[in-house]
Amino acid sequence: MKELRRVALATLSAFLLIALTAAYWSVIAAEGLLQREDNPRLVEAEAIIHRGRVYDRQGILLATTTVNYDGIGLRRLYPHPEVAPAVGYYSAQFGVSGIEATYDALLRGDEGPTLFEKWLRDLLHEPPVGGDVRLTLDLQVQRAAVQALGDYAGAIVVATIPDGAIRAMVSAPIFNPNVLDEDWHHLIQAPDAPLLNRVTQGVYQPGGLLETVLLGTAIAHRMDTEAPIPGGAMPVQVNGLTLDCGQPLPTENDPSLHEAYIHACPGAFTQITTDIRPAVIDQAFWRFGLLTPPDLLGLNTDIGDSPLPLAFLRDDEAIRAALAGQGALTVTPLQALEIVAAIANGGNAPLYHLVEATRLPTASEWQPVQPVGMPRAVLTRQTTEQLQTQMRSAAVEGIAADAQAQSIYPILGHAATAYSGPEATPLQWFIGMIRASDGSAVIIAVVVEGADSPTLAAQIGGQTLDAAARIYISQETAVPQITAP
Amino acid sequence: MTFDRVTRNARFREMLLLGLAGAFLLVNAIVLDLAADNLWTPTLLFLLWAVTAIAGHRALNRSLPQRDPFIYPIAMLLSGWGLLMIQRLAPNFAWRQAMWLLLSLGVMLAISTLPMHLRWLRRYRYTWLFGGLTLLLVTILLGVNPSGAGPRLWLGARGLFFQPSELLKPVLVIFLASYMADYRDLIRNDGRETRYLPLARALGPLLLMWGLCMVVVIWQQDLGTATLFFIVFLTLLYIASGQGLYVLIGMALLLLAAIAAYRLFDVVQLRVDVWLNPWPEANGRAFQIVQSLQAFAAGDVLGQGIGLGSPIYIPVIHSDFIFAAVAEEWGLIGVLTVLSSFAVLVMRGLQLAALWSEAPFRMLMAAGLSMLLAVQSLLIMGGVLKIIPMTGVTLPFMSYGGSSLLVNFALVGLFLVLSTSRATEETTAP
Repeated sequence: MKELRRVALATLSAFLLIALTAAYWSVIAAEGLLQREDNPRLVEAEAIIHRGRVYDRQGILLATTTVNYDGIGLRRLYPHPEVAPAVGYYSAQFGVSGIEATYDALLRGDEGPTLFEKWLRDLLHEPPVGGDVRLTLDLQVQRAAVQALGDYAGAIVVATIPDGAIRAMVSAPIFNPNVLDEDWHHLIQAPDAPLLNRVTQGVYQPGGLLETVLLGTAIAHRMDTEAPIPGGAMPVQVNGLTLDCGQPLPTENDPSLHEAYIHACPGAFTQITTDIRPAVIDQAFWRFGLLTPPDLLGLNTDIGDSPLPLAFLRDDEAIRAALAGQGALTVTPLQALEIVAAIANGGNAPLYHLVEATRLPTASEWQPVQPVGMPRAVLTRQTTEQLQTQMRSAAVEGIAADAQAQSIYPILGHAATAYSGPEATPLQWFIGMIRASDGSAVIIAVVVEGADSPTLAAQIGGQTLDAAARIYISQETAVPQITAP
Repeated sequence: MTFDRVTRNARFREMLLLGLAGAFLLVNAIVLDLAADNLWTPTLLFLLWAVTAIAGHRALNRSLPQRDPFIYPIAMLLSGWGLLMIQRLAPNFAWRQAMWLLLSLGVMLAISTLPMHLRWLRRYRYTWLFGGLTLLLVTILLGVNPSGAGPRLWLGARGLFFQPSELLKPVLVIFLASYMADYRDLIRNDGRETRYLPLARALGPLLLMWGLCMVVVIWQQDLGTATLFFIVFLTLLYIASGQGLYVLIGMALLLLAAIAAYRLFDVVQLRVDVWLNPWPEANGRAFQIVQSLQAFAAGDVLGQGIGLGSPIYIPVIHSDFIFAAVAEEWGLIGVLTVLSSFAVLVMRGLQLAALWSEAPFRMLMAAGLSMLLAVQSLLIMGGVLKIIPMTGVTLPFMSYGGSSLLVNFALVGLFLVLSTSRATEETTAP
């Protein structure tokens, strides 16, 4: 019967439509469906991942995956929460940050297995096992930095030269990633923003931090840094602020640029455009890396808004403000570290890195992670040496003397004050280094928020530098040789 | 080839197919034992299934030795698969479903032992239909919902419930087949001059009875069953009359009815809305359908394996959405296996209809029962896949529900009888 044949054909066509639609949702549209946020299977799949481990440079465990308190499921454990600014956090609910985010693919086991191995793993419902990451971070230095900063809000970043390895990365207040889910709402609403990594993303007014850059520019352009600058000791008025010397000058004479640097007198530096063209200073800012985000191997680094170049400024007060570090230019502590890094490294900015090596889940050997790129030439060796001398003077008899007081090693450094925001909240900066005769060095940048004492950052910096130098530099090789204070 | 040899081959083929189904189910029962830590419960359910399947096979060998060798194994495969799925998704209901399976096989075997001429069905068509309708009317008055909320479509108490609308499905098909067979010449009107009055006289009582059923079913807000009745009725009318125009008019009426239902019933409005665009309400009203589609996506081609997927996120998974659970745990391969099983079952039924083309009642009954299975499975699978709005019918043999299982095995019994008998009395009306 033709009616029966037609009914059979129509029925078979309907079954075929069902089959094709099932194939569409199962194969063609599957990826989009599974990645939807409302797919509860994502959370389930996430919960079984045996995420890889994170170690410090000495093999101390910083992050691992362990069985939950109730014996069901897995949880991420951070044995040393003080490394949270660098390691970041992992939360099935709130995502990832820091190294946990940068190396997420490796840590969750997406890197390493071949496509076939992944397919087989999924087929057999074996939980993904992640690879491991070894950081350049040194838990001892990190702890020393945390201890030195105490209860202050701010940031400390320590690196070694010439390898550019980050040894400590402190951003305070520090959060505890072990209880992130419980604290989340408090953390994201807290006015002091504990989740912000101040080292890489905290943008601050540089204030007197620019004096090192300006002095270097002056030396490079053969300006007479020993010549007295009339009114160099006078306070500078910018944006309603009165910026005075960081510490009193030993004499009442007009200071030279050298003396102004040692005692952190902004007046002398705001007159520098009399001898050096603003465009040259703009170039120096660029060479020191103050206008570009530093590359830290995928870690999210930030800079503030790009300021209008000095050469474009027509207003005297705006130029003064820019030269005093109270203009539109803002910097992160990592950028501040770039200044001292170039000086410590013979004039070349090194390539920073926070990760020393990685290990695939199936491998037993660590694979070193090489920083990508070329060191950037910032200063000539001669300028570098002169700047080192000035910084040493600042640490011996000037604004950074409190840093030297904390260490048996000879410290080179400079401290400065800046003011931030509409309420002119004071910020204290310190950049410094301890060098060895073989050219290696430990360098530091410190910023302390809301502290009035201009020497506080120097004390914190000195204390941390001393702890780092005890690990990386032997006293016999430290330069210049000095006796213990 | 001798008659005995043909019979032996058919029996062997059925046994072989049952063996394959059993092997498949045994592997899955063991995996479910291991995956879900349900020590031995799935295997015990399998053993019950296996004993029942073999007993059914042997009993059928005696009552219907020349039956179709595909129908029974397919029904057993689907019901066994469904039993394991219910154990996996809603373990509390598994043993109850197993008991329903035993009862259903009993009904199937009982039908297989009844006289093969099927006159008892045809002669008392009004009795069957009024009996079914009476049960339905009692349900309207005294109906309950075992879950405590929702449409009150069940009769029963103390944990034993029956859904009369399920029973009405084959009863209505038998009534329609019987009536259309009696008035086939009038309805068919092969190329002759149109005789509107006789046609109206022939179709009038038919439409009246069918309309009565529809009203009762709609009264219960069992719109899925109403849709099923309508499509089966339309198909039978087409087969009996050969008039495509009836189908077109019927489809237009169905569309109008759908629009009216959309305006009248909140549940229909909800189902149509989430069918048209479920994504904005994926965590709200459309949660069920979105989760269903995600189950298909999660299943991919090979599936997660029984007990290893996450279909339990889908509400009422063991009933309306069991097809999505198959998709997630057996993947596209499992889906195609279920689809093929239904397709083969339906095609065997339609083949029976073609074999009985000279006996209108049997032909229409075979076609009607086939369409009952086809349309019901297509409605629920289409709904689960977002091809059409959800209709709330169950997947035959697989979904949880004793009434549905019992009625579907009754259909299997009728198919088996139809595949065996060689009666010739169909050419005349009773």
